[in-house]
Amino acid sequence: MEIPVADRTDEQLLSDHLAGDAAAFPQLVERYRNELLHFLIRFLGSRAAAEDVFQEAFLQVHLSAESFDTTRRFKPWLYTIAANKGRDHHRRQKRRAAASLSAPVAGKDGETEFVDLIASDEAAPETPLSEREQAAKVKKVVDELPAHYREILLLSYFQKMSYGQIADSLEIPLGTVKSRLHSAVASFSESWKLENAAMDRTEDPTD
Amino acid sequence: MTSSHPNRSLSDDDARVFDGLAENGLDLEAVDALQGEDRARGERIRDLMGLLDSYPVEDASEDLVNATLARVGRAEDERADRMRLDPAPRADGRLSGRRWRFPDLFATAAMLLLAVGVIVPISSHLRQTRLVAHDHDNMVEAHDGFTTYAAANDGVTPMQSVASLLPDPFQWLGRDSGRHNQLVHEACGLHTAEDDHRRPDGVAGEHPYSYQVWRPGAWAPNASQPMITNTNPLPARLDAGRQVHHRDTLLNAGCHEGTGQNVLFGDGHVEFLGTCQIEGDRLWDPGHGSEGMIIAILRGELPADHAIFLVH
Repeated sequence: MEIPVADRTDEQLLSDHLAGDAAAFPQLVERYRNELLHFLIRFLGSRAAAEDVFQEAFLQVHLSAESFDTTRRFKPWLYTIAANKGRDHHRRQKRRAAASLSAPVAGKDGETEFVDLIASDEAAPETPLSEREQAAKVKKVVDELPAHYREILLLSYFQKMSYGQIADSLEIPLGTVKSRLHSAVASFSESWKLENAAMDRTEDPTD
Repeated sequence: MTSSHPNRSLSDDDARVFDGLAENGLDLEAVDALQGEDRARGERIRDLMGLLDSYPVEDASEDLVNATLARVGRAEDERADRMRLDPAPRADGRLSGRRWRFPDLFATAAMLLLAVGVIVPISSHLRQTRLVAHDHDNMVEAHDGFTTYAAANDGVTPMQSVASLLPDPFQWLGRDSGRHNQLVHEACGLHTAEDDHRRPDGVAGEHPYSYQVWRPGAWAPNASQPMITNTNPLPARLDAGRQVHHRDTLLNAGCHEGTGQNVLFGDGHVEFLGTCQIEGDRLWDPGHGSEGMIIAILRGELPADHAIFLVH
């Protein structure tokens, strides 16, 4: 008896798509439509860009389907493709920006600042934020993180990928996954703290 | 590379707790199982990461799904078009459609091959014809130079003058054949560096031709005696460390792709010869070589009188 498309695994759907099953590919797109789009919106900071990259990613899945190793899982492969397309988009944006903007200010070259999350626990703002304010602030802080930090944070938090899966998706060594993720969390924490401090100063100019 | 974010990382304790929660896929519920300070760190991590949920996102619209599938469909159509063989050419014989198909590709490849097969040989032939004519003219010009030189030097040619400067040209010939040619050039008022254009294959820095060598006073040029030819191929073989056998004296000069050589004769006429044998004698043979003998061409052996021997 034929398994309904909705009950098939991702890998089975891709295999069926290659075999000519017209219902298989739309089911894959449907299955990842929100999850992948959300990842891309957070990664790229723009819905329009995310939608464009979403389409490019699935087009690439279709074009490369024959090269997919069916012994591996589909989801990390999809995110590898989507992350690559997202990085391409960032590069294109950077090139455009480079023509009109001056270079960003350099960080502390070669020095690593270690962040202790307990010691940084003053991160919560003194005045509670509305849901909308918090969303705007989180977006600002996340959007300002370097793309490679944003990318790895999202894969870890939203996709619940293990370090091994992240390494596969981003095609980087396991040790780099660890160190990059630690840096991303530390940067996110510090940026959040700085954003709150800035907001508190704005609200209380006598302080 | 510059960055507005300084290098930051987690403290050792935070990193340990974070890895414990995230290494196998982030599991923030596991924070509740932590104890003491690790629990506090875990809760801090959970609060911090939980902020990401606030990032505003919207669900995908049906339009996005449809647009994605349409884009994939278009790509598939294009790919199918590129791959499709057209089994039914139009009745009028023209190519149907504007896209390239395999028959078009084969036809174009065949035309290109045909063009290459015809154009390359024709081009090569024309080039060789031009080169042959070019060094024919050079040799005629050189003969004029010899004649002028002889008129001013009691009928002695430059080569005879050179030979008279040395006790026996065949004694030093092999060890310093370049010196001979240099002297000939100087005697003719020619200088190698200035006359590289005379070399038919255009290789700079080498002498353009090979010249007859005479014993002093032993020559009276005539219509059957070579004076100049394109470069003798045997010295180059010896220079390359290869042995030269008697049969190699049948090799043509290399500058006309081995098809033959131009020869200037004593009476001033120039012929392109497809063989290096003239009336049984070989242009490059210094003596009475026999089959299988290694020619001692550059070993200072004396050639027989009247032997035809051109050296570079």
